[in-house]
Amino acid sequence: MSDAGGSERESLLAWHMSAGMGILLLTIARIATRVRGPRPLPTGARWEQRAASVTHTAFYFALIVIPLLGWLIVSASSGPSNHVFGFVPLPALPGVVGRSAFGAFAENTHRLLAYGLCVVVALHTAAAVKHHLADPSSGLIRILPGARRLWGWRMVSLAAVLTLMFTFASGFADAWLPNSLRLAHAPEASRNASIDPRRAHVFATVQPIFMDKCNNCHGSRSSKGGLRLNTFAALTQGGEGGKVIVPGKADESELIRRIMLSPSHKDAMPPAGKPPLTPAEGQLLLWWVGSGADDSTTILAANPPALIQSVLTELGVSSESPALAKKVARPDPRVLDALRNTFRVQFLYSGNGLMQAEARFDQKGLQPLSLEPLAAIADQLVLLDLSGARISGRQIGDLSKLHNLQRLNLARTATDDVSLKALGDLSFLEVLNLYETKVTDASFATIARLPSLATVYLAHTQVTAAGVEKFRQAQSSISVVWAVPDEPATAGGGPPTPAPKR
Amino acid sequence: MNRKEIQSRRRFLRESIAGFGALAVAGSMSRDLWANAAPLERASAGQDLLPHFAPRIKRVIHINLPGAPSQLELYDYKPMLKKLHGEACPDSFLKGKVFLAVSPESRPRCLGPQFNFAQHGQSGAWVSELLPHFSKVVDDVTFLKAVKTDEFNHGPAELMMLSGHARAGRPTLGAWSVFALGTENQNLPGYVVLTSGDTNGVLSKDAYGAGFLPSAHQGVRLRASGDPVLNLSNPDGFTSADREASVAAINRLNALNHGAFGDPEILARISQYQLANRMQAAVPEAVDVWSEPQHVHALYGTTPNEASFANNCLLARRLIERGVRYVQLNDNAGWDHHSKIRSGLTKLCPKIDQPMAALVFDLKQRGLLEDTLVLWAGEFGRTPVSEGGNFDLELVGRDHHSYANTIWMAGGGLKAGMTYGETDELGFDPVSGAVHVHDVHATVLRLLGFDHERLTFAFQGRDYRLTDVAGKIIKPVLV
Repeated sequence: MSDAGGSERESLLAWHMSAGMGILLLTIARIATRVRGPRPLPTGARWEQRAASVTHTAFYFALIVIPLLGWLIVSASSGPSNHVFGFVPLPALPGVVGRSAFGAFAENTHRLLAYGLCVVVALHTAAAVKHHLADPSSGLIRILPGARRLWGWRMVSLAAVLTLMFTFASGFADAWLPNSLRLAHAPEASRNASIDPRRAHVFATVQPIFMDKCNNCHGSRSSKGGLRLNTFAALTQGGEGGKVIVPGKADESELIRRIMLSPSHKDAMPPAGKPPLTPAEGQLLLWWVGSGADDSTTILAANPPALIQSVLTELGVSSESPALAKKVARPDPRVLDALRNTFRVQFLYSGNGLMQAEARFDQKGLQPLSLEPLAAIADQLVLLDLSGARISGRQIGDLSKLHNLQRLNLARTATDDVSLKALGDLSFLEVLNLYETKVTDASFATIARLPSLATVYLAHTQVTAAGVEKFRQAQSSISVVWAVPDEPATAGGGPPTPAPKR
Repeated sequence: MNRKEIQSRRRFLRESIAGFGALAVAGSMSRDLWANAAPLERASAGQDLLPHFAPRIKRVIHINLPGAPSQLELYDYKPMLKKLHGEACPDSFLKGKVFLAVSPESRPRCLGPQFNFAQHGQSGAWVSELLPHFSKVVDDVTFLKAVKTDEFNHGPAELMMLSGHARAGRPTLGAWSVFALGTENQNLPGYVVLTSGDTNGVLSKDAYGAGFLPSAHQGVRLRASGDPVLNLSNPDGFTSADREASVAAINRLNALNHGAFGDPEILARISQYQLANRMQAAVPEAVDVWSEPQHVHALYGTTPNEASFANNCLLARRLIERGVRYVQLNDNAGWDHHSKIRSGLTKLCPKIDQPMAALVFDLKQRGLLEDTLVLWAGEFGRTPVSEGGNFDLELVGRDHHSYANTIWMAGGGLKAGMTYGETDELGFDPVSGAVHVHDVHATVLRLLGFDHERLTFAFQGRDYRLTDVAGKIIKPVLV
């Protein structure tokens, strides 16, 4: 079971949780019947009766406590598997959400009790077989109508085979069930999905590895060997044996030595029986330690080699802009209907309320466009395309309310220096298109103030070559798309030769 | 206490089995209930499907060169092939391969690259001297140098490149794209096809067909001379008001027909008539490339009154600015150089070099490259060995090569200036980064925001998809 990864694991967990809640309900129903209704007369010797009584009590205890602990675990974490059988939402138990230490405790107890339950089941099965063989009027014949001894044997062996299959064939259910019965599809990106490599630190990709694979023994709850690995300070401090990381020297770092050992080695970390590091994770740690093991270098600045880049991709570090991964609620449909008279508004992708809007084609250039209605979807709007629209400079100020904008296209509009200033400081804006607008060099100051800006398009504007050059030198993180003007046309036609980059 | 209650355990077990069975059946019958992934949602009037992921591109310009230009003379520089020029090709490379005309027993000779190569730009991409203008924009381009296909002849291979299946009848990449995205501008078709070149293509309408998708998603061919769209403008004496009235009457009849038979194609027909009406106003303005300023014409190298590739590139840019989602440029100039590869490419490459470079440059300057994809592809590569016995360099050519091809893509969501995939020293087989045409399709759909396994259409009892039963997204080239 620990080998199943990704969406298989999520699907199995969803089934497991649903089965557990089903069992909880059934057990409660069973206890109610047992308390209320008549019970069968006890048979057999006194020791048998006491053993049976103990086993049954253990059963009831386990079948109530184990699902409850499971419910606790689901509440403490927040995975996708919190709908019973896919459609009944499971309410989170109060006071538990997010308390991962509590969740870890619950997980361990859940597992231990489950092993105990297996023992009890084995005992119960043994007793049932004994009764079935030794006492012709007892056993399965009592429960199943018309059961005869021979048929009972088949039932017993079928039950035994099924139990063995479910216990030992990990991924059995997932491999055999048709897609339609899967309860959960894990999201494609992993836990690193919203990391923006232009701004994120390398440590942010490395830390989840420690939290995932090392935290149980070297974390907040326990520190084997005096070593904790859950914070950067702890990592650099080391444990009883001294420092485990030598920044810049992976071959002298004890941590690297241990994770690179073969799993059967006695010093190997994680120790045998615990989920090992994947090769990708190992490579990443090796590179991180080798390039200085700090927590302040961004991925972009660290310039990882191609191997590490593919490792990062494999681990799900996506360059998906964090602005596009935010989850927002959908706006009121009536608001959208009102907007649809002048704009073409659409949700960005399924399952999220993020929206994109553009001036409608049949409206472009016909009459002045009012931008005020867009404020109604300020939380959701991330892409706005106003290219070619008839908007006056004063209206650009209305756009300053759209605080979640990631991309803004003002090409071929009447935008100028003054109106651009009114745009304000859109904190998530990454791409700004000012092609064929009236902006001049004076706008560079406004552009520089946009904190997240990555690209600005300034071809066919009134900026000068000198202004562009100065801006490029001052702001190396913003890419300016601007080429030498084409009048007079370059000899022989075609695009100009690109200027050599520094 | 009556007997029923005493046997309650038995009854309970018996009855509960039916209940669990019912749950399972309900699950398999309604996939949406069980799968966490939301079903494909349709937005409102635009008939758009909502993407599964945040889209990186909104439009595609697909430059399709039927006949298969030689990658060994354009992009894939093989110095070892140059060294072995004229020698018999080692058997190890030819073993087990199938070409159209070349047979391994005929002891074909290695044909070195016929033109000089150099590295260009910051990315150091290899481009030959045949494409001087394109060399200036390679830093915005992603090359895939190890693209495999299964077919070694034109018809099936073109169908594979365009529709993901080697036999006719499936929707093309363009049809799937507009099926997924809908159209932005209701007055223009979402999928437009522009043709250039003197030869006839092998495929006719299958190159832009909609297959089993609603025929509203079929490509509309804009012609370069005369009427852009046949039968679009009114005949003499027939005014637009007359035309609107007749179309309205025809559509009322069609609607009656639909009420009787319920054939969804009738609805497509009705919407196409309405689209044609709207296109009457929109198309003439859109195709009027001569309203562009002179410097744009100098950039693209356009020629007046000709169905040239340069005119088509400029027209493609205008169309996507007006909301067309997918423009397919078919250049039937005759790229199938089984012979005379030197003179053939010398004659044809200047016609595509400047326009395709200008297209990439122009889109970049306008900011359109952020959310547009330009895809350049022939249906397969060409063999490193010569075809035919005559090794006269003026007459020699290359055969079809399905095992390795070079294509390029440029646009949003792609790592610019990257070369992915590599072939062996002679250019026969991929040695790393091999991708199949299905993988390219899966990647294009992913850039559009769609999971290629979930963008399906139910037809003849099963869910068809562009990538059929294959396709893996080429993650290393995605940003």
